[in-house]
Amino acid sequence: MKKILTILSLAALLVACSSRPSVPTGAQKEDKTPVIQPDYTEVTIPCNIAPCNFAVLEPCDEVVARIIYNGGEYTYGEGRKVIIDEAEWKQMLEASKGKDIKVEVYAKKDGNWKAYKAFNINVAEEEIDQYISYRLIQPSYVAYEQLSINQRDITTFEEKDIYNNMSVSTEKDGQCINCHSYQNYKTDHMLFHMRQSLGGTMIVNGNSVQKIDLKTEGTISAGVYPAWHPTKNVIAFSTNKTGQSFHTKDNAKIEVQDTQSDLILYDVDKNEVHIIANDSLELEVFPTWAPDGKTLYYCSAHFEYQNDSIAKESEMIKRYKECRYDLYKMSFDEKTLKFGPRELIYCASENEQSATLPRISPDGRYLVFALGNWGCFHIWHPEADVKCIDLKTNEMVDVSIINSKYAESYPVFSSNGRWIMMESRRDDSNYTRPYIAYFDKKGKAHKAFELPQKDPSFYTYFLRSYNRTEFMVEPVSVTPQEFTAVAKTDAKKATLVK
Amino acid sequence: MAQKYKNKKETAKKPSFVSAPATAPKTKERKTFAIPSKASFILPIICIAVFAGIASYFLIEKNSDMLFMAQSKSRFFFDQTFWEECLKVPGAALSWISSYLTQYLYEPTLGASIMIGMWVVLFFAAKFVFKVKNEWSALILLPLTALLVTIIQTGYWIYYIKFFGYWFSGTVGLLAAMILTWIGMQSFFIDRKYTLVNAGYILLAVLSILCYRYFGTYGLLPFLYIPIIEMFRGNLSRNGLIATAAISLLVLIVIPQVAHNMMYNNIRADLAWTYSVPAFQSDNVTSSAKQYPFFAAMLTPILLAFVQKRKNKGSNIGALTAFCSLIVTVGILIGSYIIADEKNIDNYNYHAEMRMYRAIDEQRWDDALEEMASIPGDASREMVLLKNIALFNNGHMGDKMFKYNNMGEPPYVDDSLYVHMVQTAAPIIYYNHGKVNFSYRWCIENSVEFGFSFDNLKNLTRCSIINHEWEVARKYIDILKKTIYYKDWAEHLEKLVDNPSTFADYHEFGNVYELYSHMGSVLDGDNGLCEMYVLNYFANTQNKDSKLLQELTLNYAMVQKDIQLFWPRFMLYAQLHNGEKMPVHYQEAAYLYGCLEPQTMDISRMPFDESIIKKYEDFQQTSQSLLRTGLNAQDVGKSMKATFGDTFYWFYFFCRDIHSY
Repeated sequence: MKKILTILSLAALLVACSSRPSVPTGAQKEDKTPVIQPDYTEVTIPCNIAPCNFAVLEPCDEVVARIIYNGGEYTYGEGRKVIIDEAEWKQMLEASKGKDIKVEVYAKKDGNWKAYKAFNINVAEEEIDQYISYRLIQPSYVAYEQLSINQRDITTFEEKDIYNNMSVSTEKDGQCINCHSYQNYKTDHMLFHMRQSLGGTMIVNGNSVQKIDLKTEGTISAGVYPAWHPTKNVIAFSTNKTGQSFHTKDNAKIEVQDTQSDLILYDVDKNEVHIIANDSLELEVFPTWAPDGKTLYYCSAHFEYQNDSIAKESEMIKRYKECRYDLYKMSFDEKTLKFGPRELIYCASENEQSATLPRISPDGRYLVFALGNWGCFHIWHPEADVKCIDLKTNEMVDVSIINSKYAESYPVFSSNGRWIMMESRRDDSNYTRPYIAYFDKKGKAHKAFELPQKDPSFYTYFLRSYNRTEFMVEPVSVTPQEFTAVAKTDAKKATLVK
Repeated sequence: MAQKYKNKKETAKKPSFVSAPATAPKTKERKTFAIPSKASFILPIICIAVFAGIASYFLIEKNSDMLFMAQSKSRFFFDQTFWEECLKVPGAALSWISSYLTQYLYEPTLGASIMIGMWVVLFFAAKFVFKVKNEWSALILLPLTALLVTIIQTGYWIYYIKFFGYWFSGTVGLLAAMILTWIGMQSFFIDRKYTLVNAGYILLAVLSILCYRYFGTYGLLPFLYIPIIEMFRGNLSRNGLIATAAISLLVLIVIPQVAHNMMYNNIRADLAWTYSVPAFQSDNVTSSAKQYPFFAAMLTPILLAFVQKRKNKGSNIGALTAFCSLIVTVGILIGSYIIADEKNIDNYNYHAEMRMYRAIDEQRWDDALEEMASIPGDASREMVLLKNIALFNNGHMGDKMFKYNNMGEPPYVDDSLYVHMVQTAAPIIYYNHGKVNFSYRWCIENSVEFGFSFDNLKNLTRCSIINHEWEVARKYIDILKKTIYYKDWAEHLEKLVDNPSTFADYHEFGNVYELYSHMGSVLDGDNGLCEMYVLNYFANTQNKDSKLLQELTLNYAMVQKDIQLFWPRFMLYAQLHNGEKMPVHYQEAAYLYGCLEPQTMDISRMPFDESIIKKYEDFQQTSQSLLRTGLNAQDVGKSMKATFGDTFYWFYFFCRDIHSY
């Protein structure tokens, strides 16, 4: 009897704990929407995104959120957090495609309930690519230790390592990893770099995984910023001599500068490197392909060193504000692997600005890029914003709604072109977070939202930045252990074709 | 064999029992020298009590400052993110619990008491699990001594340790190993009725992956202990013992590798077996010797299996055994003290630096100076910089900066560790000099390598506040609010972040903000040399809008011994402080430079104090006469230090060959 009573009590406790909160009656109305974290008020989300859990930042002890959708409603509330059941959320999204979900928030402080003005979350009819990948890194300066390239299923909260440098590296044998890139959103052709210990470029080419040394006697460095051709087995890279210096007072804190940079093309099948552009008066960088593969877009800054008596690095540090990048393109012949002359797309420097990191929409019509006041590393430039050009009209498209007062950079299109993902420091000006904005069929951008996390306070306590957020239509199938095994082998030397 | 021995013994004993007359006296000698086993319970209590005393002496008396620093360089947050971070490496619970307990070292006496308390528990747990006879209890002190050494041996590695919850990891790990050993030896897992190992032990072997996940290498120790205990206890059949040992061996060899392949992408495969033993690695230095106490703590319990109680043994302790155990007990207790004393880093500057660091962090300027004044030998460069910070904050730089030791004793290390100031104190040095971005940078750089410690988070918060980056300041405050000891500090500053217009009311930021706001903004770098950068930057800066900054530029121009830099800063100081008494050291420098280079500055009309001139004349006279005796410059400096060591004159001529680090 005693046992039965215990079991019944436990069951009752379990039910009590898992029961839904009820909407408070007689709550005092507030004439404003609540401040929530992340901010999902009046945003447009994909119909397959993970639950948009949030925390209420208004002064309160307890909250209840009623989520009303086409077909029903649910209530949630765990302290100050609203954690939505994944199955119910899927059901809500499915029923709300092309419609709004209405969210009413009630908050209790000192025993009194307040009812905030409801806000809407618009559910787009278009899906988003199921996976994204990013490098997780402390907002670092020079030191690096634990770095990982991760993939996240953004329709759920599942995150996995693609590769973690600690599997091979410690202390003096430390390894930096960066610049993961995919061919046409697919992962059977992908790459990322390893620097310092066991350095090389890890290239997945169908079923083969190889580590290649892209540094040749005729190039500045190994491959750096990559762009895999959408159909051919060739990759455009920049080669860079990069330095870093530190602001003594400016909140930007760091300037990352290239003192030299060129463009190369790597033929994966032949293991050959070809020079694309190496004008000594130009700093060419950030290549990206048009979706048809017939045009290569990139950035270039015209910079003439004036003082032979000091090192280029020193002169660049002195004149860093004069280094401004413009957007260019050049045609590409897939058969001969030859490029045409460069054409100016957007002259940012004439407005005393600097354009970086271009990406083309999958329909080839729009070009998004990051625009700051100078230099090439805009994530450290608070004024940097994402901009968009309509390549059909060559007019700027107003995407100011997706920007903030802090840095935005690294915009990328989803494979269906309806979502722009970018890196943003709007949360706290120091840590980079992934934000996603709806870009509708008419070319209109909508308010961006932060990548949902299971715990809505996650970003507060997470002390790493998201770097190079990329869309993928499938997960990476090579395991971290397989990458580690290849990492331990010697890199195969690429050959320069002169 | 054991059975045969037992029979023989019984057979031999029986006739004497039968034939002995009822009144016959028992063997007298035996009774005289034997210790009744019931009375022997006092031995383990004495052992652990003495050891607790030794541990208290080394932890509380000798290392309180170090224990405080240990917690400030560690981290624990009541948050899911922290637990998930722990889960990424073997021994998640070990890291979590150890990090949690490390917080209590904020109050070193409390933290050390918890640690010693856990050792007492561990002592009795080991005694219980290994069924150690009372008379051999002292052997349990071997792993405990090793644990004590892991705490007091670190020296400057304290700034370079990366292992989550280092300070309690050995204790928690070994305690977990004892509990898991006890569980593993229950009849559910080892059924002694069977000749071969039963399914229970195989189940235990499968579950060992969880033991590894949550307690790392310590979680697998039961598989080392159990077969050895069983071997000496003699309860298992030969086949059962072989099977148990084989399974255990398989677990020890295979499980770390399996777990590595299944769960951990972020550790090297070859480190999977020893992951819970903290590595002492920095740049090109690896100090394996500092890992030995961890291995000793894990392996010495094996000895306890030799001295288990056996059911059929006599109840009293024989004279010889008693004598031997007494010798062993005394030997181990003395040995524990000697080893602890040998391994304890007792360097004065090492400890004084920590005390000064804390005083500066808490803006107790006078305490920092008091510490500096009491050093018996030469100061380290870090201490000199901390002393300068204390002096310019309480306004006595000009009168006292050369009254303290300004030499540069290198940091004491007992191996080849190269200590960099950027990793020990740069954030606080830069912050107090108003170089907030550089402070922020080194907090991040050090956090990247050694983790986001409480200390770094505090500095990051302060820097963000000075920079008026309120959002990120709030982030760090929110994190610190999830701690036991930094919660109040964070909540105090949360009010400021909620209402930035009250910034001026927060006087703790006053001087730093004044320096910060009067400095220029340029691109720069320190090349990893904090002191050199600070000296060069301030010595080469000129500012007339901030008296504080201007005085600092004068101070560092004097430290640089650069006459050309000195005079414009001296004149500007005089102008800004018109009508005020010129501080002693500035007068000394002006008089000395005026005498050395009269062509640069005519000092004949400057109103020097008589004592300044007199002291200089005495200084010159004494040095000349000593040089005439044939002493070299270095020995002259030494001879004159007692009389003139508190003057700029002595600093200028004899404080040389200082190496920053």
